[in-house]
Amino acid sequence: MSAGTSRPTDTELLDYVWAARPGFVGWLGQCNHKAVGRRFIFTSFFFLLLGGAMALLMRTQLALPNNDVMGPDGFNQLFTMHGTIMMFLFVVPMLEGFTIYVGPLALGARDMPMPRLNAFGYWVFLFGGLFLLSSGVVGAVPDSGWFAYVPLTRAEFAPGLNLDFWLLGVTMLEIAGIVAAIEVVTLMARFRASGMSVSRIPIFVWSGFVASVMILFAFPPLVAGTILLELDRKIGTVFYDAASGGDPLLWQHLFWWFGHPEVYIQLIPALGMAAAIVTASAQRRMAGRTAFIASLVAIGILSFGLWVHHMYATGIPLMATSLFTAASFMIAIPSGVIIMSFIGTMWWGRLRWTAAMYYVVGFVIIFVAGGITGVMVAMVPFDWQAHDTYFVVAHLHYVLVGGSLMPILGALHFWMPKLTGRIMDERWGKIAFGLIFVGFNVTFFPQHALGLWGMTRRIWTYEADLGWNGLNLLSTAGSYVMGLGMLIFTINMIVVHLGPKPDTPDNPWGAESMEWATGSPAPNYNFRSTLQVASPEPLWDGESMIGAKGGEDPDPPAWQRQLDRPETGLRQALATSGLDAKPDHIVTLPGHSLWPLWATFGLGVGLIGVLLDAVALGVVGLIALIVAATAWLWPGVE
Amino acid sequence: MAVETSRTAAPVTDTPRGAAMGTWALWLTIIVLAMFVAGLSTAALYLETGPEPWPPDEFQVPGRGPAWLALALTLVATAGATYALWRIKTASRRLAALSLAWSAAALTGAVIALVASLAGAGFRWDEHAYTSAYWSLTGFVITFMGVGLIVLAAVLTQTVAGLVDEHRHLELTNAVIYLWFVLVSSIVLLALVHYLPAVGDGG
Repeated sequence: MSAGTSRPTDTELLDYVWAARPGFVGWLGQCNHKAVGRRFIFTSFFFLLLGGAMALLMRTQLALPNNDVMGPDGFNQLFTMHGTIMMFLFVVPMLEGFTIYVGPLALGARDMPMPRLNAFGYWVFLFGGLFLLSSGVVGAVPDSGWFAYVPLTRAEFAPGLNLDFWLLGVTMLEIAGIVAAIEVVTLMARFRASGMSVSRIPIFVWSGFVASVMILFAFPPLVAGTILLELDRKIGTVFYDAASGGDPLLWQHLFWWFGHPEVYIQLIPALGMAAAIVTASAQRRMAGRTAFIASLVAIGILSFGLWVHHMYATGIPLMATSLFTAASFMIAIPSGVIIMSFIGTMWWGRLRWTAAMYYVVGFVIIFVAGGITGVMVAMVPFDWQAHDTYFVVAHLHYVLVGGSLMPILGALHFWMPKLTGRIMDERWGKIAFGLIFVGFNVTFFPQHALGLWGMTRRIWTYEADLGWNGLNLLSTAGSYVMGLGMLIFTINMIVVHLGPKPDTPDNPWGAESMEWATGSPAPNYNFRSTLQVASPEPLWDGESMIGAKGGEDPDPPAWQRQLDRPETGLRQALATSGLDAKPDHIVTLPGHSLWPLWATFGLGVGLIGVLLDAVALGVVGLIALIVAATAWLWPGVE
Repeated sequence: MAVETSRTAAPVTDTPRGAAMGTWALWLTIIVLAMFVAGLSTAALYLETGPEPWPPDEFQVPGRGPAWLALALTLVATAGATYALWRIKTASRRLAALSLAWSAAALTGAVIALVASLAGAGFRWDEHAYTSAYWSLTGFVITFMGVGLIVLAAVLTQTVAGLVDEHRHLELTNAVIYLWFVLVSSIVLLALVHYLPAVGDGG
């Protein structure tokens, strides 16, 4: 705010009110959605690189028969941590980070509805990640796969702290995911610009909403399952012990109750990202927009009826497996609608071939291939042959790399101007894409054949006379090409952030949604004025955006003046009604708080107490958590 | 839930619609907790309907009295908190505070009854899946009630301190919603190991 006696402008006042406090403590206490979203995105990108490096090490071990780069224990630890990092520390947090950063901007909101909860989600995610990685420091890296099947994970077969690190760390990450999901659902329900009715919500926000609702229903059963397993390991309950009336298959049911929707939780927001990119690149509305959104919802619902197709080889009755086969086939229908929407948009639009658009095309090609093998493994007789082979490894990587990684890399290109005010180099971006796309297919396509030739998953080496040598070497070579692509992508991302800050345009891609109506990067307050939306493409329609740059409302109502010029010094935002987004009430939001960090600290100390069987430490953590949460929620305490 | 119940929400129209942000967060949290309870209940039912008799012949089913008492006291606590909310809306802060104190006492009694049921069970948690389920599900109910007690204590303090009144009572509203969840989840979880006859017959 300008010093002296002159009256500050609206923009100066907004900037002052919405700015972070200075210093390190101010940085720690930031709750604004942009700070939290950026933290999620760049932390999870670090985890992507870490998980990728682990994959390269595994492929190095498998390049040659009887290789001895590492032993079986190290290999077990690597594939466990690779899967855990990619599933829990990269894809879901990355997608949530984008939703948290872009969502409020795309909806015309000033922040998330509960900023402190938002910050809590990030701190829990960070602590959970560090907790898992710290297992390496004490030499107790989890080593039972990212699915932690019992009975192998019961204390008698997995002594030591390895699995305890996994169970407690994953529980923290699940809590972080749930917290972010609560935020996103409330955001979409109530924090939209005036006039942004349900039919006008951007597809990307819809996708984040559907995935968040899925998280609310899918994650808690896994938390229940992990708590029961940890009780088995720590105090001797016998839920999963067949000799004492328990059942190991119970774990698989609870795990896949979460695990299969999880695949779609990773896919659906990425579909939204790809939709945002293709809409901007084709300069036209998404073909079949309503059908696209309906298909997202349909996938979200159907995904809860598929979990047993991971368990065909466990002796499930044939009638039950047939029902799950039918459900698995059914999900191909909305998936097909979505793919046809992408193709139609590209077909009818005037495409600009940006690096982000390359990733969308890569996504369509790879994901369709993964979907086709998905239909294959949904068939019980085929699954019995391919189960636990490299065919399944190839399938799941086609689905997850195609369905998540490709759109995420495209989204980093696409939204980087809004995240940091920098545009990544297009030429290097396309080179990186080429290497990643080719490298990926060279790595994983041969694995289909390896699986059909009998190479089982999770083996650390193989004999030379099995006929797998050539394809394994090819697969490893491909992984290095993909790794080179990722390295170039990362260097590109770093290099563009060196040097003086460029004057980046607000809307470098000519996109249609509202995050492009403000500065790059978005200013502290997001939008100078409250907005009015008249269509799903507010930047293209010529009617929306009253109150945005250059379009002042000559006679705004009192509540709008209050929001546009925060004389009270409070961070305030507009909450709108659920369906038609009519102005409803003004919400006062906190701007700085260390309580979420303290609450995370208490939670972390408590879990360390559980890990170490240190009851006193656990109680201290619990008390700290209760005190921090009470102070956080106490009226008037920020 | 009208938005005027919140300290941080100011209506901009004459007829504001929908709940305050805190109430949204609470309802979504209750969905999460309900799914957690669903996961636990499914696990217990899955084990109960397995091929072995449930409970096994060597275990005598403990008496159901303490669990019924706990449920009755939870109902009293929930009704008391609901009454407190009604009183606060009618500007009777003193009656609301008394009712909240009564709720807290009833909920404490429920916790004591359930702890007593565990102490008198006659078996440990590590003897059979049935005993694991008995101890764990009862323990989760006690945990939910314990959280309820902390919430009640906080809201009671706020009421006595004058931070909750007829215009600003979001905290109390949310406490009541949570207690109703505790009541329903107690019915479900305790039914599985205390009230209902065994579903599985070992057949």
